[in-house]
Amino acid sequence: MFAIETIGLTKYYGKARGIIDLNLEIDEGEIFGFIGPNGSGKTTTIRLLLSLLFPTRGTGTIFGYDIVKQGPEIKKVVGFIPSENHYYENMFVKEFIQYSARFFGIRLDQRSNRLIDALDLDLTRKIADLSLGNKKKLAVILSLIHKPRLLILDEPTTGLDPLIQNRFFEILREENESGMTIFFSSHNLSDVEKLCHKVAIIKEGRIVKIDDMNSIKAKLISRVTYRLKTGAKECPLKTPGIISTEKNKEGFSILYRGEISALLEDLSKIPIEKLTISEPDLEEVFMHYYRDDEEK
Amino acid sequence: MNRNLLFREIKSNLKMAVIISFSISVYIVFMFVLYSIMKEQLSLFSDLYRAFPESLRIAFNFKVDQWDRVLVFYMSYFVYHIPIMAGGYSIILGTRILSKEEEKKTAEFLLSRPVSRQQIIGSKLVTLMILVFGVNLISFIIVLFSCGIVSDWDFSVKTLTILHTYGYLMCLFFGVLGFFITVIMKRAKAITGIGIGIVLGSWFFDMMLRTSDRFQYLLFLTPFKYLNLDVGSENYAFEWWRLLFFLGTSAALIVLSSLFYRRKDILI
Repeated sequence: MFAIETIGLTKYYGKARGIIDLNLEIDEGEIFGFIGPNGSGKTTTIRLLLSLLFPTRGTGTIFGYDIVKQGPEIKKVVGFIPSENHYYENMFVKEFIQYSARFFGIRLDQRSNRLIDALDLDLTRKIADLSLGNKKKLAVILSLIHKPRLLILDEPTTGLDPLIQNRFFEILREENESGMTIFFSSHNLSDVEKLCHKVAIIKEGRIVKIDDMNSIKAKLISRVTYRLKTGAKECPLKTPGIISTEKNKEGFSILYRGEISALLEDLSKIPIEKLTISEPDLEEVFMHYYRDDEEK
Repeated sequence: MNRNLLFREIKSNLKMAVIISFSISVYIVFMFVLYSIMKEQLSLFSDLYRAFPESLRIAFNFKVDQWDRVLVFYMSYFVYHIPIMAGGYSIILGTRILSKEEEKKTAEFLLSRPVSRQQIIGSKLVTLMILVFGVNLISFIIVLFSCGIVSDWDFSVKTLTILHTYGYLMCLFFGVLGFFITVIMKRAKAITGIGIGIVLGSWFFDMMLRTSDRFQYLLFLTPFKYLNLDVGSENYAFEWWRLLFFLGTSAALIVLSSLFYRRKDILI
């Protein structure tokens, strides 16, 4: 049984496209990245999974529960961090956490106190007085106190400062180690890169690619930077597979797809002072996917 | 129905109910103080009222010549504080209680808890029923004691209870109607103006139709037709067709709201 499975999941808002024929199979215990630019259908997918929206066609299940017919059963085992946090402004933080916990039939306990301490949230404040970052911390606590089997995150790091982000990622890793599946939707590629095992790239409502993180990062492109010796003449590289070449103050930066040895052979013919080969960041991979898709 | 949600809804909407109850109570007390002052000179009022054009007298339905009976006097003003004030409150609550979750985008929080849409509808509607009942009950108690004080308890408590039961059912009808309208809206929002417009519009419509013989059949389209205000009658009692209208339409609107909301896309 998959943690999340969708078959041909499609949503139209009238004539406007939401998502089209989304097929996902996410194993239990996986940290699954879901990346795409704004408007690509990430939030629509999440809202369909949480029964806030209903599909135009197709089906979806979470731990075998149907997303249309078994919404309440799903929510018992799912935690959710939305991209924007809208709560009841006139409630106090502690009162609100207790209110949320009662829906799951639980009280504030050691686990919730540990989360509150880890994220350093002041329980005595009114929600209206919370900053964006503190509201996000509250969202993290609300999503985890009932120990869900699946955590759905929609742009979860917006508003969190780097220190709290690191704590947040630590918490996610710990929860994942204890078996929690994580569905991590973001357009912040470095966040996905830090955490996810597998990634789906969505564009204009359709999945462009699903692959494991390492494959996506490694098998396709490399970033090669080099600096010529002083006085050396510029010499264009002829190796096929060079996607782009940029010249900057540091030297040349190449985005390359293919066998690295072929490129090195070409590079060996020119006088190089310094050479570095690095894994491309996901942003580059992401852009590359898009460009490739457009070229097709 | 979800108890957690119910308690929270009652708590968050209580303040408004208290303010409305207080306003209605002040209005009732003021009205009866006025009555106790003018009781001795009712014949003067009666003469003055008779000087009004007949159509106006029919429209306002003030039976001034019977104002020596406290319930007939009270009935003349009942329309303003129960169907209009309490009904207005009820329809505003009905249009706000669910739509505010979408408008303030808290629906995303609520719908990601393990609570079904039927439970949400149930809890919101029970809150509406309880708070509207509370407002009506407080009004009833204030009226009961006011009538008792100004008339030395020379009136039928049963008649007053029946009148207020009709009043409560009418408020409930307005509340459920407001609720239903926001449920069928694509993007729900608190339509306070439209709600007030429905209550006042149906009241004006009722008044206008009563002055015309030609369009009497259209009276059945206004909820005011189903209020039994004939408290001077010795046979004043519940009538099945009036109860059927209020209970039937309210039940139908609840069922329809539930069916619409069950598969409604929450667009926030």
